[in-house]
Amino acid sequence: MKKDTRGVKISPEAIPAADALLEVESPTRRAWRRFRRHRLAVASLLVLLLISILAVGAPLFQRYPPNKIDLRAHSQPPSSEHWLGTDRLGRDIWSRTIHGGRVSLVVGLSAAFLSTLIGTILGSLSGYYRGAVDMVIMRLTDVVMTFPSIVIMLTIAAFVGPGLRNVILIIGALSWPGTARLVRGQFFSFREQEFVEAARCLGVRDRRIIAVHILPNVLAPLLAQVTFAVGMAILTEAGLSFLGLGVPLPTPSWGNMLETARNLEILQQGPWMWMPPAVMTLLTVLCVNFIGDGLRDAIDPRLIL
Amino acid sequence: MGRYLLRRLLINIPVLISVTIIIFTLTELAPGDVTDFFINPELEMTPADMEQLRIRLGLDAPAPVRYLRWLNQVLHGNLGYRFKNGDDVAWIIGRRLQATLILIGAALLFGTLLGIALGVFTALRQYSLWDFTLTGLSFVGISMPAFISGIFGLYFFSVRLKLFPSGGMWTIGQGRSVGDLLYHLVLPAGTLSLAYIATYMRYTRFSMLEVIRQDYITTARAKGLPEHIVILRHALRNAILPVVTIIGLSIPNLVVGAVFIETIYSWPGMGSLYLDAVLSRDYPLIMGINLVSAVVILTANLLTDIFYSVVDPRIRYDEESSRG
Repeated sequence: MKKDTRGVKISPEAIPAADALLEVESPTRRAWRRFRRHRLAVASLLVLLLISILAVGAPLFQRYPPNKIDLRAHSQPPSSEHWLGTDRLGRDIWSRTIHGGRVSLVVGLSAAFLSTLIGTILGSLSGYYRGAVDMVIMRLTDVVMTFPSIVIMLTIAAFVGPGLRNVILIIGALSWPGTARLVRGQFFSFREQEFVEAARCLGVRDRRIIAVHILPNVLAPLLAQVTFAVGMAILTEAGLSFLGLGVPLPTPSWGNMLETARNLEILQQGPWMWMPPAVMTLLTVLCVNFIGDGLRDAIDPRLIL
Repeated sequence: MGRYLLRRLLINIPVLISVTIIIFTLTELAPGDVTDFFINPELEMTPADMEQLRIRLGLDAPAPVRYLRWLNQVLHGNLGYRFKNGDDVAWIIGRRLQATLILIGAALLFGTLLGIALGVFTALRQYSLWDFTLTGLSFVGISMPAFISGIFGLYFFSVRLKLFPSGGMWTIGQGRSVGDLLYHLVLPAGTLSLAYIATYMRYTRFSMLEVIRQDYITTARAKGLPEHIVILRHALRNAILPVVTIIGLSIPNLVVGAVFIETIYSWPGMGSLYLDAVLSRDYPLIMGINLVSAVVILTANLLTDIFYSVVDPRIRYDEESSRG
């Protein structure tokens, strides 16, 4: 057991001298301290960091351009030439896998951002105003939740056509209900508290109370939700691409690389063609879930760690 | 009880109406012109002929009128006809729905039984090697989407080990027997249920651990009741309530998982039919399947609530139900 760092302590190097002499452990720092105890979450963070570095720096780590077709070297098993082998058109699987990671990362982050934005706005309005506003927004949430998300996404994807931007918009626009419900619940409990009442007495406008007074309190539980949202978005993109309605070829994505496994011959004779994206998808989502769990535990004040 | 059920039933009506509006609007916004499917490309069509065709098909009416007409037909059980081959949409969905319900039902049954059993098992052996192994595996299970478990299952158990067939619902050329169906069902239902076994196990374990520390469990043991009665009748009965909710909430996801599993194992269900409809932009079929799956999900939610009120005698029927 390490020294307890809670409470008041002096740490002169951490703070600007003029600001304050005493440092009270901030909630963020406390959460981080608690998060570090969750060993699996920390390990997952490192693995995810590694995957992100590979994805972001894909052009540096690739040995062949991801779309370079080489028909003389098609369907080759892993070798020193091609670390993970080649696909039916002789494209390097290693290059395509790390480039596919970029697609997953871009889709995951942007779609999660979009759905968090929508969910937070709707959830705040719903939880703050309650009554008729809440009623309308919650029924809307019910309807969106009633449709199995992928089904409606497939419909829209078929109408608007596949493509990276459309995939992000579709996933973002349809995965907000969970976030909205979470934010709404938080607003329900905060809006009754005295600091909100005080702000209201001072004549602060609703918009400002929502954004400046209540919302910062919701950020902590929201963070865990955002983490899960990123994981879900990555999975959804892979799913849509797997069905041929996500990111179109030749752009490599884990989903459309996996799609090749729907062909029984490739499934049987070229496991190296589809295993890497399958393993990467699984690993990424696993890491995201562990991190989300760690965050949730670290932030939950009722849980004693 | 009757009034509670009636209220639960009535709540679904506005949701269902919104669903029909959304489905209709989506199809309205869809690109392309419906008349394309009715025109013989060999024939010359003048704009006047086109106008004539639109009037004959009722496409000249404003959208709300057409919506009401469509709704009227739907209420009479007519979901329209496929663009592709003129098949009756309601008929073909009915045929495919059966296969999907078998798949989802089997996966749900498998997931529930195994998940709850494993949850109880690990809860009773908290912090043992079994507990750590199974809890660890459950994390992998939860993170495993149906298209990955499906592909892995197909590769290892069908292609490599040749234990099960790689697809379809019946062996061709043989009479239809239950045994044959089960043989074909094991892999699709097993891989579909994987994520749910993991989810239900985790919730059951968590819930059991909470219940098992309650005083009434100690009392039951002190009375000298056999351990299996204490666990099954006293603990599990209470621990299972939150799990029932989770099972109900996971049904939309099961429907999604079935779409992937059906395409991977060529299971002749609604999911593979839907993909076919989407890829060929067969609007009547798309509308029909969306509507039917929404009804299936709403029904499943309703059944969950009813089941919940049966297992939990604390629910008071004269008040708003426990779910927000």
